[in-house]
Amino acid sequence: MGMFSQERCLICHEEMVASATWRGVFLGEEVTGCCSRCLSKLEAIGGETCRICGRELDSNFCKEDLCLDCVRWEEDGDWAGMLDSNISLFHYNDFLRETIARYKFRGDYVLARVFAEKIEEVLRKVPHDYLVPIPLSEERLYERGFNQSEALILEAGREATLLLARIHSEKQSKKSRKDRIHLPQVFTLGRNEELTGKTIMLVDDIYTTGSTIRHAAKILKGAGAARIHSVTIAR
Amino acid sequence: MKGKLIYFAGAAIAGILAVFENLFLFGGLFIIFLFFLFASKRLPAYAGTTLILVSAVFGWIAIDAKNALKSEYKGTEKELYVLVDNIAMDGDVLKGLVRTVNEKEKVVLRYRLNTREETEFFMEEALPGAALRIRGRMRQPEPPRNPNAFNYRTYLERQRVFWIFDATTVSPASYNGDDSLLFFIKSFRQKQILRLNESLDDHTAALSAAMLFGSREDIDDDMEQSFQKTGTVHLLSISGLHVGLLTGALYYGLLRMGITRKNAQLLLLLLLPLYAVLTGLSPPVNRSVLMAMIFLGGQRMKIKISPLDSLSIAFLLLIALDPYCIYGAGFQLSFLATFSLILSTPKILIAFSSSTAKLIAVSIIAQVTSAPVILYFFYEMSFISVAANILLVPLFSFVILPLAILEFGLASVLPLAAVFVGELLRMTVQLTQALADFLANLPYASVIFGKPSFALLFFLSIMILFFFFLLERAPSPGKMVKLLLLPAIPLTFQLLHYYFNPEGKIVFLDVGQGDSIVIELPYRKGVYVIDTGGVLSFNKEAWREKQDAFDTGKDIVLPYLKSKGIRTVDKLILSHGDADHIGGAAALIQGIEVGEICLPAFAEYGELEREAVMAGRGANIVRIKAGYKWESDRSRFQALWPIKEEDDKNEGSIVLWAKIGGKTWLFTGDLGEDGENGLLKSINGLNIDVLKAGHHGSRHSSSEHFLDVVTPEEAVISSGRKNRYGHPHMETLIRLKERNVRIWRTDKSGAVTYTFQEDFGTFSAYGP
Repeated sequence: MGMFSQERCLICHEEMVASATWRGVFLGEEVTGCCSRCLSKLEAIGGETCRICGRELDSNFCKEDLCLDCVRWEEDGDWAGMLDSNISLFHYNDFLRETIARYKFRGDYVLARVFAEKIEEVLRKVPHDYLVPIPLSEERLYERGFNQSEALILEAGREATLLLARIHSEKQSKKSRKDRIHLPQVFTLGRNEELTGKTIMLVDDIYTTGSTIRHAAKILKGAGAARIHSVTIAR
Repeated sequence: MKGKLIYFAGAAIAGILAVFENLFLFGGLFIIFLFFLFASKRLPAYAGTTLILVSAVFGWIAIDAKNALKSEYKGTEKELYVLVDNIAMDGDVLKGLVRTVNEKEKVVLRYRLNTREETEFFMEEALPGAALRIRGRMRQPEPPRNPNAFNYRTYLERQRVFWIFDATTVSPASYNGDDSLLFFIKSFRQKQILRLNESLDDHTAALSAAMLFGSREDIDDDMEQSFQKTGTVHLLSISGLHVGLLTGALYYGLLRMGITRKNAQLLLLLLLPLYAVLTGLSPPVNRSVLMAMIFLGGQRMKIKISPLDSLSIAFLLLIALDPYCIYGAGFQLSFLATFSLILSTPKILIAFSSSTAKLIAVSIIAQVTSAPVILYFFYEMSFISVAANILLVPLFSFVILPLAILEFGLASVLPLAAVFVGELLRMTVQLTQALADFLANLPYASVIFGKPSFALLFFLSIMILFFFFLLERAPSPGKMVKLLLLPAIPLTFQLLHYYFNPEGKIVFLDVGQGDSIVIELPYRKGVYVIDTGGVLSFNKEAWREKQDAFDTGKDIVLPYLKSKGIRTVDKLILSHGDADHIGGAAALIQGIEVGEICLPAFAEYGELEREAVMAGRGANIVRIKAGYKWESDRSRFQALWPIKEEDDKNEGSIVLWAKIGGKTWLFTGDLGEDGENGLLKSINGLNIDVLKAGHHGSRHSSSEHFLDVVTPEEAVISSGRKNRYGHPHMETLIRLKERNVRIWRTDKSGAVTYTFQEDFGTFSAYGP
């Protein structure tokens, strides 16, 4: 519990004062690691969400319980039914964009703790057999020093199964939606594991178009996996 | 260290309890706790050392306080010079706290006023700080005389009061009074309360005095009862919420007046302690004033101090000043409720979006955390408190309090406007009172649980912690309601365990001069009360009438029944119409559900019997004569008397024969020798084990002939200490002794209890 050490917010580094909780005081559990002010800048995704990708539904851009994006995915024979469901925690606003950039591009590893607890909550709710981080290519891993998706799993106190490997290519964030979707497969199976009938939970930092997750899902379903779910910090 | 002061508070309380209660238990618990922290590597060595140091310091403070529990007086003093601390008049009795001039020791002063003029004189002259010369006698406060009764002696002792001074004369002393700021504020307070009483009607004045000056003295019992039953009694004292509201309003007002932020803070820092004194230094006010001051002080020094830390500092300061304050119900409730709300804010309360939902959640959280304390002190708990709080808290905070402040402010400037506001206030108070009464009278508004064991309180506390731990993991309104099942488990157990208890009890309560016997059968198969005791009342002039006169039914029998978790009295047997037997009946019947009221047949109702019957709307009224009988479980009861109309009330007493717990009993009320002879004639021999000696051991009862026939082994005499009739009479005692009857006397030893299982039991006396 670090009786005499002063906790500071992992995001803004201000002293944290107003966050005494029952579990914190009596069980010595760490608090979220971020102050209430920063927490308030994170906009949780709630309300009606798309059945597949978990985005908040806008009545103008949806068809029944699916967003138009997912409708397009599902209309495409190659991709229909690849992803069973995705849950994203927060809206990808400026504050979160900056925080995630600091986390993965500038190596502020400890920020994983800010999100780990929420990720853990989702993991508890959705049953699965394997917990698989979206991998980085070896070059990229060397460059960053850690895999941001794997770090989320580890900080949530879970075990990551590295079923996938990645072929090195340009950063996703530099590509358009069209580029991403019509990309040749970027993943390979990294490990031989009996996947027939298994449920797999993928973990990634951001869900943008959903192509990364679906590429990974396609490989895994090809190897026999029955259901693919995913969880990401941002959407 | 910031954010962690709560552990210092924990260490301090461990140190104090180790000294006051049990060194090994609390010292041991503390060491186990530290060891656990070390073992789980959560505690660096230096932090452990600091905590041990804190606990030792507070242990030392506690030892010091314990050593100070000694009076400087011998008790033989006949004359004292004192300064008034706080004095109140109730009917023709003046009662209050005074401080002696020589030893600066607090003493309770009691004085019977002789004339109405004297009352008025003291009302105006005996203000805080005034000097008085008092003559009379000192006596020690009474220790309790009945099981689970309130211990007045310990209560006073913890405030370092050791004597009650029964004054025969009280006169102003030439000695200069105390005119320090402290007494100036106190006497200002007293004068304002008087002013309120003069200009407003009773209820409005009482409530205004409570809201503005924290004075509960004028609030009558019925009003207090209603608020207690609805779990909103905290509204009758100034709460932390009020301090917060007032401080906030004043701060805002000062800023609007163009005063700088800095100066406004400084001004508040000066005013807050004065406000605490003005409102009578009650625990909730002390707590919230200190917290507000710590917050403001921190702001001025640019230090962020978390609410939990400022709560901890306020706690440490108050217990360092007076370690005995931890025993106060108000102190415990105020700190517990605040503590739980602070811990619930970041995660739990955030899950409630609307302000109404939040208010409900706050009420539930406060109720859950205060449950062990409420149960321990009051033996009953309110179940509509959540609803009552939601209705009454806003009414008090945003209508009654502002109106009371307005009325008070206008009274000296615009008396006419004040009258108007006063009228508005009166209507609101009336409405509030009606609302509280209505809620209090709803079925199951308040449930009697009985005195909980420490094991149960411990179990309950653990369940409450789990309630919060689990709720915090996934906070939502639905989850909160579901998790309430956790604390409900020990509470249900407490409620039901009486029905599985094979132990029965017959208790002869010490009601002073009078009778009151409670028969509790095993497995809650029956609860019977024979008589309620009572105080003789003489017709008094109106000004002599007390607002809440002592009543054995309300103040002795009812608290005892509640402490045993008794919710219904199956039969209340009123042996005959005398005040020392049934004076407390009406109040008892008003306070608890009574199935049947049994009165002697033949005799016409006396005044008190009529009152009892009137109070018992809904109860069966049974007129009993010889032959009336009933059975329950393994016990049998049969009335042997009266058989005909008697001229004398005493001789017409209900005489009850019973077989309970392997013994045969005879409860004879006030039956005298004539009645005894008549009784023996009417039946064919009577052999019993235990006799409740007739008429408090009078020489005219328990005659030789009667004793020779019924041959009791034990006799219980229910009489008052130093009663004016000289009961029990020497002759009776000799008669009993000659026959080797063991004698139990309530005047000597307090309540007498026979505890039994199946056919075996033992007698015990409560007192020394």
